[in-house]
Amino acid sequence: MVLQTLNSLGPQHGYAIAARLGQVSGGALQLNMGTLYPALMRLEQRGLLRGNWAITDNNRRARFYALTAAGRRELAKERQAWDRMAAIIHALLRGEI
Amino acid sequence: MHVLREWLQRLRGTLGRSRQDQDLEEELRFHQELAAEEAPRQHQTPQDAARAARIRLGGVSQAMDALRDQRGLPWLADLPRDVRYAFRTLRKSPSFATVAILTLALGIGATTAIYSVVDTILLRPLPFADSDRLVRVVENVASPDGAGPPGQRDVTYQEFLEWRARTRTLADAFAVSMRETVVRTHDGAARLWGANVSPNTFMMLGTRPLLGTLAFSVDTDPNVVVLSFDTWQRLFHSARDAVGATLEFRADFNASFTPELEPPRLMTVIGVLPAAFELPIDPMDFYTPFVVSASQRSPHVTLIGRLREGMSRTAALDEANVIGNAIRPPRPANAAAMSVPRFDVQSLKEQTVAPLQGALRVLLAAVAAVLLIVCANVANLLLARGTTRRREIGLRFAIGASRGHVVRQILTECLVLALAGGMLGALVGAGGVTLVKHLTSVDAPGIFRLGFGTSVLPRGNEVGVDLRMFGIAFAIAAITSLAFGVLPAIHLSQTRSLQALGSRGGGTVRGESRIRAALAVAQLAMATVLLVGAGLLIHSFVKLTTIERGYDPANVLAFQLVFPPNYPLTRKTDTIEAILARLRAMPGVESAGFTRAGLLIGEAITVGTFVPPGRTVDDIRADPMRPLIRPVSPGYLTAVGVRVLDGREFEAIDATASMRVIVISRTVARRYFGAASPVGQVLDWHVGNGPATPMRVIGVIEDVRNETPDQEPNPEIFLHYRQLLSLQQRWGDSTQRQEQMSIGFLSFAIRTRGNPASAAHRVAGIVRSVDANAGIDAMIPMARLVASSVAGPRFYAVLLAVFAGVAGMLAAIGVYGVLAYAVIQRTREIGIRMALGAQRAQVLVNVLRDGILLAATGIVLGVAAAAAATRVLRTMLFGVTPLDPLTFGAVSVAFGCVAMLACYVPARRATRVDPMVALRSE
Repeated sequence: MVLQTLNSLGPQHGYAIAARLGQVSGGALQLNMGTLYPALMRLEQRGLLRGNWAITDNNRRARFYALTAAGRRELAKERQAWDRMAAIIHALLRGEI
Repeated sequence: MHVLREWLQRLRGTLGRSRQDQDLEEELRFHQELAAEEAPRQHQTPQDAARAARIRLGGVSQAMDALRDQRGLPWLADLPRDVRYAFRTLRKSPSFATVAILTLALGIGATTAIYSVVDTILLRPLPFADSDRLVRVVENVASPDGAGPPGQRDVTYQEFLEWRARTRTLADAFAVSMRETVVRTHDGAARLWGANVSPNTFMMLGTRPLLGTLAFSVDTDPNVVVLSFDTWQRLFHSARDAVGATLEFRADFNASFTPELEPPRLMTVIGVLPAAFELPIDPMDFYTPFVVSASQRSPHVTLIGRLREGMSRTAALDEANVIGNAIRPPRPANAAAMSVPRFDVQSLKEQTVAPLQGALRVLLAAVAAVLLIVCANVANLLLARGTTRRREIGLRFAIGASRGHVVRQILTECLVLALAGGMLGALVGAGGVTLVKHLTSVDAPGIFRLGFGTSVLPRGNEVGVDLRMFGIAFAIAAITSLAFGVLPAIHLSQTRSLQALGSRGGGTVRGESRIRAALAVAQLAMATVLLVGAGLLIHSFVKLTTIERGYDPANVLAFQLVFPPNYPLTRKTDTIEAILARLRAMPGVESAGFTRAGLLIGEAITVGTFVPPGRTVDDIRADPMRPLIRPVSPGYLTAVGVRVLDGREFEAIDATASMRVIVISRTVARRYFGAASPVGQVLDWHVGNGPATPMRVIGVIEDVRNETPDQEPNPEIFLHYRQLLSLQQRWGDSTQRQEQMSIGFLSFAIRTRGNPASAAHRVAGIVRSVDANAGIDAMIPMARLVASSVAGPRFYAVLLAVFAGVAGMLAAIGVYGVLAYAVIQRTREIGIRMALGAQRAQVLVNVLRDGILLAATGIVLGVAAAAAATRVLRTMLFGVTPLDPLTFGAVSVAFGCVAMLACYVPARRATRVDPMVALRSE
């Protein structure tokens, strides 16, 4: 989800990612800082993201996270896996098998 | 792959090369501020908004904790702290730490020593190039009685050459056969034991010379020799110019290794081998290339080949049976059928170490049992200490430590203990290896080296203290720390914080005392198994050394004379007689004698057939008993302390008397003459086709165990060696055959009044003054030789006894610990009982009962396990069955007494409890 957010919005800081996730989920997904930042760090450690300090639109310092090439590949892979999974579940629940 | 990368990054994080706390915190604060700024739409004040954001987003410090855990590897980061803490706790209880570390050092040291010995012998490749592909080719032959395992026979040199030409599975092969020779040295003569080898031998083994070359160029000069390091030192005093020097080789008699005697040859030394080199068959003094003339019968050789790369032993085995059956005549039609193929291809290494694999496994098992007992003991100590630490651990839980944290902390303490134990253990292990080397080295000079070897263990020369050992010690220490730490760690981590804080640190926990009792019982049982095993080996060793050998080795000095090449026979016999005369006149000498082949040399002959009165030659030839012939001089039987049962031994007068006389052993007397006295009776000696020679029996002696004491005595007939020589001359035997049969190894035995070793110098002086050119081989007190002949059983008995002793002591300490601890915990209860009028005796019985129950359970379990386990010792026992009731009984009673003592001490302490003090202690 984090990867998808960054993919659609471009480089973003942590708060923006959380806000976006909250927004698209209609408020169902409220990420706590203790969950979000360790997750970002893990993705960074895995080389899927790169974080850098930069200045926001209203002149504040923030750490911006951007997808790396590996991250984009991973996202594509995840998406494919999900599509396949969803198709199977869909077929199952509709009794089409 | 991503996950691997994450771990690497986290490792970097641990090492401090990642984002700092400040950086992380700034990011979180930024997040919080943004959240608070957006909030005022719903909240009145900024403070309210900030508070709501904090509630929604969680606290900065909690997020920081989670981030820090994600950044690095927390357990790794905490390790230095855990280790520091472990050191502090251990320093706080020095007696506990000392006992635990010493116990561990003992266990780890013993295991390290034995493991490194086993590793050297069984696991390390032989010290030759591509040694894992070296194989030995032999022919299996059915055992004589057809029932036993098949025996093995080597191929001949001619067959070896044929084999080498035909084989496709072996890249190459070399041949070895033993030979002996006498050489002239700067101070007389020396007998050397060496090998004929095919010229490619050293090249195939990848051996490099210390000096000169190892390449035999047989075509240009076959008279060349390569010396072993020892021989080089002995004959040339390590002079570098030994290469190029010459030695005159002359076989002075045929030690049955080659079918015919070789003529004397002048040999040029071309090279010297490094000190560590030892052919995997026997330690040799020298190596010469095969020179087999067409007129000679081809000698038997050990055929060793190297498998072609990628070739399996099975393929080589199939091929060996094709080649072997093609070049060797078929087996006789009446030969017993065998379940194995006729020709066998054995791995050289397996073949070298096979005889000892069983014994080494026993040692490994024993040392593993010691290590387990050590672990159980330390675990017990930790549990006992854990009870007093319960409050501390409760406190840790109360302030937020997780179970994982506590387990980790305790395991770290164990690791620190084990590593300290390991460090000491490595030293103990080095001592142990030195002890093993000392115990296994066999004191067998000269000729005896062939039979006894230089070590109880094959490859004993490779055993030694090395750096690998320290690696092994620490590996064992690490494994050990888990073994003894896991139980206390799990147990302590189940502490409930409130309960622990509330308790006064004195309450008993039932589950725990049950675990500790079980550990003590396990220790006792294992120690009992070891003690029974050691008991059996010791019992067997005592039997071996006290068995009636038929001779008395105390105060006997033995040596072999070596004559220089080309001495005529008469000069040899004159010299023998002159030496005997001088020895008998030497102060402090009771008697001195000469024989063809002395005790423990392991060589004897049978010649012709002795026929008692009233029986026929055919009758006796069908008899499976064939007495050995032992030519001796007068005084020999007395010198070695053989008991004369009837009649007398040889006297000087017999040499020239016309009647030929013999002394027979008890078995021969009983078989040929029954209960009647054989003295004065005559045996007819049929040799060859000539007329029989009447031999009058002048004495009967006790049966002698001429070889190692575990071998049954042979029936023997003793002759006067000079009578035998004159007989042989009458028969027209060649000089060589006369020497072979009558004087052979030229063995002397001297019985002294005092210490025989102190006479050695004077004896050597006498030999030199009689004939300055004669040499002496293997001068050694007979008692030391006899000790060498049982070096193997002694090694196993001593080693197992040490292990069993340590195990027994630790187990007793274990029982003591459990009981002593129980008494401390029950102090209040005992105090109340005594206050209510219990007698001291009742209290004593009460505590003792618990201990005895523990001890009895352990010992009974141990005896049962031992009964199942001692079967593996069968081949190592002599005169004792694996279920020997005496050993089992003695060990259980003795160990039971020790356990009782271990129980008695704490029980007595219980009786000294002062009721008032006990009650007030709460």
